[in-house]
Amino acid sequence: MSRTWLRLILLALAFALGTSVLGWWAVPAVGVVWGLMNPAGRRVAFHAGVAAALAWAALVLVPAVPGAPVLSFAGKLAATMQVPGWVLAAVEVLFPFALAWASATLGAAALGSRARALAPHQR
Amino acid sequence: MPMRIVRPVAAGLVLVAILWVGARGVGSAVPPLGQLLDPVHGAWAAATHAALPRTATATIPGLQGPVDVRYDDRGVPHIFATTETDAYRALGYVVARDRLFQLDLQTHAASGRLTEWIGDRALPVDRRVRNLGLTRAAEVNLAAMDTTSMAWKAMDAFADGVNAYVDGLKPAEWPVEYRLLDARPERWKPIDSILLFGRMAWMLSYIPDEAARFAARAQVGDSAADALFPLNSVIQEPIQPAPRPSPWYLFGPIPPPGRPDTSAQTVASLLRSVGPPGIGDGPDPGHFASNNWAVAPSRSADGHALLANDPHLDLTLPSIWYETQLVVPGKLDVYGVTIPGAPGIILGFNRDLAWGFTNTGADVLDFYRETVDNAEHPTRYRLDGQWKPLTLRVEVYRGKHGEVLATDTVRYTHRGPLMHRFGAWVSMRWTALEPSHEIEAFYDAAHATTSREFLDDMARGFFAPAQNMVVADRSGTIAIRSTGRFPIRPKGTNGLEIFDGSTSESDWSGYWPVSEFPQAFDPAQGFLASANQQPEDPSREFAYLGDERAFEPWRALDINEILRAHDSVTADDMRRFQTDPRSVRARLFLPFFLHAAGVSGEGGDTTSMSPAEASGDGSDKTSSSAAAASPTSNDVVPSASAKAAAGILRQWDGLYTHDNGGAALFEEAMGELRNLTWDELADSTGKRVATPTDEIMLELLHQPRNRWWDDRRTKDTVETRDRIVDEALAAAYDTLTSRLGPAPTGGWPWDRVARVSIRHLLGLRGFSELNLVSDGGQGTLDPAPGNGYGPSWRLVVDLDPAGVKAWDTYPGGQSGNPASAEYADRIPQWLAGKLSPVLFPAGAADLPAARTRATLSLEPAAGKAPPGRTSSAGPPQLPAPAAGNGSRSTAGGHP
Repeated sequence: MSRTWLRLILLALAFALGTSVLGWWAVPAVGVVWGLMNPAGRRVAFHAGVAAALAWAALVLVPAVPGAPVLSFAGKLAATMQVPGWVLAAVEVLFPFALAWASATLGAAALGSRARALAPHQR
Repeated sequence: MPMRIVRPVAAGLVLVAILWVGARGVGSAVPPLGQLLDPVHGAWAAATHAALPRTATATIPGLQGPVDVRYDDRGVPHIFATTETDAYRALGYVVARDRLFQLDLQTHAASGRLTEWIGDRALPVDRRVRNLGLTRAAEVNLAAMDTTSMAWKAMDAFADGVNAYVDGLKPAEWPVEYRLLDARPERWKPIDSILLFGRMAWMLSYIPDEAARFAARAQVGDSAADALFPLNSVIQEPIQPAPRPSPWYLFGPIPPPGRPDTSAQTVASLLRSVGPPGIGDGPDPGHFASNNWAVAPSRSADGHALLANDPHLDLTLPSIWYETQLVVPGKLDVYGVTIPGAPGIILGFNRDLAWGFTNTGADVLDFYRETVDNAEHPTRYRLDGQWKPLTLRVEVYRGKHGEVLATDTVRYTHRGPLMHRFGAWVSMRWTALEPSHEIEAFYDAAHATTSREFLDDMARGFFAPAQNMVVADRSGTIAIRSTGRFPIRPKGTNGLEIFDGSTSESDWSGYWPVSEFPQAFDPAQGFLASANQQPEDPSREFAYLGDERAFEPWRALDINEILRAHDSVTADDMRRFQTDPRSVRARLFLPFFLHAAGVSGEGGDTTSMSPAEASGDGSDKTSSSAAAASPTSNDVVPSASAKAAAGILRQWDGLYTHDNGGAALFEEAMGELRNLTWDELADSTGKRVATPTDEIMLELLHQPRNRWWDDRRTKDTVETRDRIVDEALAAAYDTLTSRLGPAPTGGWPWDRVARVSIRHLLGLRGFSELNLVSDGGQGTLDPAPGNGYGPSWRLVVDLDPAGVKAWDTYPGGQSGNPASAEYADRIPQWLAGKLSPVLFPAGAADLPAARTRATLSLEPAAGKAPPGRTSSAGPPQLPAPAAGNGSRSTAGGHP
């Protein structure tokens, strides 16, 4: 397993754990921290978004393994929100993706601009 | 602009937007998405918590001893407690566990506080509730309660149970509806139980339909209007058996349309403005229905009394009913359904007797035109020549965040709330606003051991909404009584008018004594039945209980005919009767359609007369063979549509089975017949101001030359009955062809036009069960298809002296969680007209382990610590309660 994948999985675990403990506000919080930790990394924000989406998808689906009626309920919930099932599924992963992407971008930019500001003196 | 700036700015904007949508939502269309989509704490948690844990333990403050709750395989909690208050605490807990959102929603609706959940969209509904005085009445009732009474203790204990559950809930366990509404659960207050009864009274006894008669007078004069909207039902099959063969008909000539009574229009407008919206427009005033009947041992196969009940109410998910059993050894052993929020069993049975209710439909509401001191802001009203102060009450409506949305001042006379309509001040007196003791009545009645004791317990405290209570006991007694408060009005009045409020002589002088209630005990006929028909034979000793539109005879005709024809009834017969698809109504009307079409088809009868011929009231003397006494010349060529329609109806067996080809055409033809016949009741805009019932239509059909058959649109012709009936038939055929396509062989299946929809309490489509196929229809014992209401519960009880056996079902499930397997699991059974045998254990040990799905151990809270809710490895082992006050019958066979 590549290092990138490992980092992605660990990040997804962080999003999952944060959501379980703190609720959805954990997603932007973890995203910002991730951005701050990797101000110069490649595709930092994208990785954060993917990890958050994976984490939420797993949190929704894992209870189905022991028998929770997740899939049948998804259909009902989508109908209640007056959207097709695939739209609900898309929103369910796009929402944490966007939250994590935006917050990680801001986190990375904040530290990146500081690094740039410090750079001339370091030079 | 460099990318290193654009990118963070864009990300910042996206983040702010998403955080906003996540935390606040978008207007009223999109709820806060963060808490909704959160996979752990949001809507998905409903799926995670869909099943009750196999074992659980919880604590309830105030509990005097441990309570053992066993859920059977139908999700019914059997509560085994050592004291009665503990049983009610446990009831509160288990009801909240399964139906918390329903409890909360009902309370918000009943107290006029829906705006606190959904904002000013709910303001009109909340205003209506508070202006009716229901909240104030509940407060007065609560203040008047004896705090040492068992009713108070039961109510208080129930609140303890609900609150123990609410306090122990984690947000992730909140019902999904809270996520969708962005709301949170509230704690339960004892007054909420009283509000619930007020809401039931509103649903079942707020039927001020007096406007119909006055509106008709304004169009066609007093004489015709009073015949079209009579005091008595013209078809009689009373719940109190009459000493004459039943049914019988009070048909008489209907006077032709006369000169409008212009003064009646003012009264009609006033009455319409104080009545519920929509009332009076259709042939059915819009009230709910129900069936109940009991069979004496002399007519049952096993020699036991039998009882059946199916109350017809709004069909909702979750259901209005919640099924449970309360057992306190030696003191209480009762099984049945409760309405979430009521501290007790509303309908059901104990070890000795069973009971069931239907709505009486009594007129228990009057209006008074008041004289006030100030036309805009009155503070006093005139009574017997003196000024009396009005009671003023400020109603404040709050929004989601506690902000004030609106404020009203509601005024009260000694009669009730005062309303300002069309420049007049009208006060209202209504039994639902009077002090009452329903909770006490249910408490006492649950302990009754004989039919008479049960009915007397109810008569002492059950005041509104008045119900026809049928009861049967193990000794074989069957009985029925219309129970509630029936006002004694000023002599010579009947409650259909607006009274003069300036004199106390207009006031009610009391209530009917119980001895005058319509009732019967062990009648010679061997059965008793009520289905919302007029309760008493009016010719025997007429006392006004309500007008003809408050009653409906068709289902009473059906069930009485069935019961007369069976002298060896079994429990399974009772079940079959509940869904019998026959319709006496259809059988009474069908010959007129066939005759008209047949006459036209043969081209040998008259369907029209010249205006000169149609003089006087044009009525024929009433006769059951009126169809054969038609006029005698004809120049009408029947249309192809009428011929085709007659062909379908000729083959119709009169049944409302879902695949039947005649019912759809018949009902469509009935609608067309109303439209064509009652054209004289339309106002200047063409809108019909009131529609007589189908009973009156049947009466008119027996008068083939009555002037009412004339179609006003044809100036030089006066139509007769057969012409109009023929036209109705053709129009119905054309309408269905246009809507559903060419008629299949035998006609359009009934289920193409009449389905059953069981809607979620909030109307959420995904949580509803829509367009279900079922037998039955208007006028049959199961009227669910095509109507918004239907049998909300079905119960059959065999009062076997060796041990009571029962079977039941309802259209829904025990759980209020849409993700749960028990949310709607009983609907297929209900649609098929089947029932489940009920488990009725005397002790926890009597409930078979194989049929025990889950257990809940409730324990006293230690000290003053806040209640918690935890899962545990297993419940504490309680000693099995001592045997109840009857046998240990656990279940019936399959009826």
